[in-house]
Order: sequence, then structure tokens, then C-alpha cells
Amino acid sequence: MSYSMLLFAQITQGVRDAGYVKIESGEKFIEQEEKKEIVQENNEKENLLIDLIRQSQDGDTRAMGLIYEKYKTPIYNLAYRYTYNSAVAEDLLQEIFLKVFTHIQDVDKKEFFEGWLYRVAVNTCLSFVRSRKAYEVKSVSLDSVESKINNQKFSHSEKMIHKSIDDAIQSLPIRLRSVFLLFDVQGFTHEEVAGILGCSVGTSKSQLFKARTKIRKHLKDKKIL
Amino acid sequence: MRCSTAKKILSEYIDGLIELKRKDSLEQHLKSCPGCREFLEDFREIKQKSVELEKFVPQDKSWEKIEKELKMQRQESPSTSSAEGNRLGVLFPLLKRRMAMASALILVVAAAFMFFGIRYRHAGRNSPQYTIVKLEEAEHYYQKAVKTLWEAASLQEEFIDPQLAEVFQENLKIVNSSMIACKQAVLENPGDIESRDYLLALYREKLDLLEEMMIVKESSFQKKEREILL
Repeated sequence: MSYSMLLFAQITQGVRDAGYVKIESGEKFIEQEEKKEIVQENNEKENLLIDLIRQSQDGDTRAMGLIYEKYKTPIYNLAYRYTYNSAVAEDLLQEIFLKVFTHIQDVDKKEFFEGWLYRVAVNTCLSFVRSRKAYEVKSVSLDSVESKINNQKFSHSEKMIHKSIDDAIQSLPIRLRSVFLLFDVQGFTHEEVAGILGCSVGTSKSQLFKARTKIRKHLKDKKIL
Repeated sequence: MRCSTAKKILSEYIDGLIELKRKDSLEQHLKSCPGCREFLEDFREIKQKSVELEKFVPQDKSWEKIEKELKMQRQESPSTSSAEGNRLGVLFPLLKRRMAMASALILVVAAAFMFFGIRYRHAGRNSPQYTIVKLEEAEHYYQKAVKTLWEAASLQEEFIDPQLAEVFQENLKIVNSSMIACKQAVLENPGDIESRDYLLALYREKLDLLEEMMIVKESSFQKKEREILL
């Protein structure tokens, strides 16, 4: 290879590298911008929630309605998976939000509202589950609940897994169920779970491990896994 | 790394919460252990499928009920700062009725104490003025008890059979008209201890009636609750 050819090759490579750098930095820029947008969006959402809490504290039922709309589905699903009875879950949902809006004045630090809301929800569900022995609660099958919001189409085998996981959750001891529902189903971190349940992060981690192990055993026994 | 140790930290591993040092030795172990690899895959599957679990939406009427209760609460307690008792009442209508019954009972006991105290002292001191003052105090306690029970009995109106509610209302009307007549007699002749005695007896009558009404409502409410649960 002659010197001029070598020089040409080096220049071409240099231009190509610079292009890559350009593309790469462009991608990074877009990524950073997207991140910024997400953070900004989250901040806006948080500010909106803080406003709604403040308005609710002033007795604005419209603001309470908007808070209810935001949280009704996750809270209802949490209550449902403590009871596996849609009618009871509806009652619990009402009881939880009545408690929340009656005591919303007690919320000083608005950024902790969500944790507090879930603490009220879990405690209300736990009280019900503990007192349930007095009642004969008939379980309503999942299929009989009309308003499902999962529009994703799952295959038969996937549906079987979901149904079996629900069966397994139902058989979990209550403390393990709480950690599993909050961490794996609702997506909280261990720190948040610990705050909601009033336990240590270590306890949350070890109970999650136990819950998953029990669920695995249940699914293995049913030959789902 | 042993399998038992590996399994214990697999849960944290799939959540991305394991320290680098342990992560490396776990990954080394996983390479050579099919049992732990299977465990890991199962945990991953459970974690993924749990997020996908079916989600349900509550009925629209849930918010209507909450809103209705909140409005009731506001009507009961215009001042938000002193609303604690009423808040509890809205949250736990049953509890409120029980509390009302208990507080009414305390008031009745206080009134009865006054009443019998008066008789005892009256026999001893023979002072009509003193008796009248104490009878007035007893009446005051009865009035408070009636008010408390009346407020509590007005809750959960829908749980009572309409025909039964009518009977209660009729009886209350009779007691109320007798009370008006009796109060008139007391006003005309404040020194007449007999008419005051009769007035207090009517208060007791009204309290019994209200208490009976609440017991009926409570049992209907519990029946309704059981129906919902079953």
C-alpha cells in the first residue's frame, strides 16, 4: 500500500469515526433529552398530586375524585388479591378511600402520600382478613369479574400460569402475601414496602424470597413450571 | 458457592439488587449448576407473570358511595377541625351507633342519679327549690341523651323496613305530643314535682323507643352486611 493510499485510508477512517462519534453523541443527546422529559413529566405529575392533596385538605371533593381515579385500580386490585372476592374488595376500596379522605388533613409531607395511602389500604385489608374467620366468605372466580382492564391477549398456557399464580398468592401466609403483592405485583421497592408494612428492608427481602419459593413450589406441584 | 447459598440470593439477583462481588460468584456457580439455573428461570417467570396478572376496575358506583358518605360527614360536621367524632361516625356507622348508645346510657345514668338523688335528699331536706333545680338538671341530661340517640338513629335510614319505620314514627309522635303537654304543665306550675316526674318518665319512654329503633336498624344493617359478604 502506497503512502498516499494509507493516508487516504486513515482520513476515511477518521471521518467515519467522527461520524460514529457524532451519531453516538446524537443518540446520547436524544436519550438524555428523553430522560429529562420523563423526569419533567414525573415532576409535573407529582406537583399535580400535591395540588390535589392540598385541595382535598380544603374539602374539595372534585380533587378527591381525581385522587380516587388515579389510585382506584391498583388499590382495588390489592384489596381483591387479599380477599379474592370482588364484592368485598369493593367494600374495602370504599372503606380505604373514606379513611384516606377523612384523615387527609394528617398528611403533612405530601410526597409521602402514596406510601401512606398504601399503608391505610394494607392495614384495612389485613384487618378484614384477620376478622374474616367470623364470616363465611364465598370466593368469586376471576372470570366472573366483568371489568378487566388487561387487553393484552395471552395464550392459554399463559392464562393458566396467571390463574395458578393467583391460586398460589391466595395460599400465601398473610405477611408473605403483603410483600409479594407490593413488590412483585404493584412494583414497589423494598424500601417502600418496608415503609408501608412497618418492617425492615431485610425482612422485606427475606419474605419476598420465601413468597416466591412458595409460589414456585405451588406451580411445580401443579406442573405449571 | 453452595446451592443453598445461591438460592437465597437468587431472588435479589433477579431484582438487580445484589452486590458485584456476590454477583460474580453466583454467576460462576450458575454456569456449573443446572438445578440453580432452573430455580433462577422459575423465579424470573414468576416475577414476569406477576406483573402481567389480570387487573380489574372497580364499579363506578363506588365513588358515588364514597362521595355520598363524605357529603354526609360534612353536613354532620360543618367545622372540619372538630370533626373527629363525626368522621368516625361516617367511617363506622355501626360504631357510631354503639358509641351513641353508650353515651346516651351514661347520660341516662347521670339523669337517674340526679333523679334518685333528689328523692333521697328531698325526703331528707324537704326543700322544693332544691328538688326543682335537680329535676331540671335531670331533664337536661335526658334531652342530651335523646338528642344523641336521635342523631345516631337517623343514620342508615335505608336499612330499616319502611312499615316498621312508620310504626316507630307514630310512637315517637305520641311521646312527643305527651311531652309537649307535660312541658306546658311544668311551665304553668314550675313547683309541681309530679308533672316534672311525669316529664322525666316521658323522656325515658322516648329513649327506650329510640334505643329499640337502633337495635332493629343495627340488626337489619348486619343482615345487609352479611348479604353483601355472602
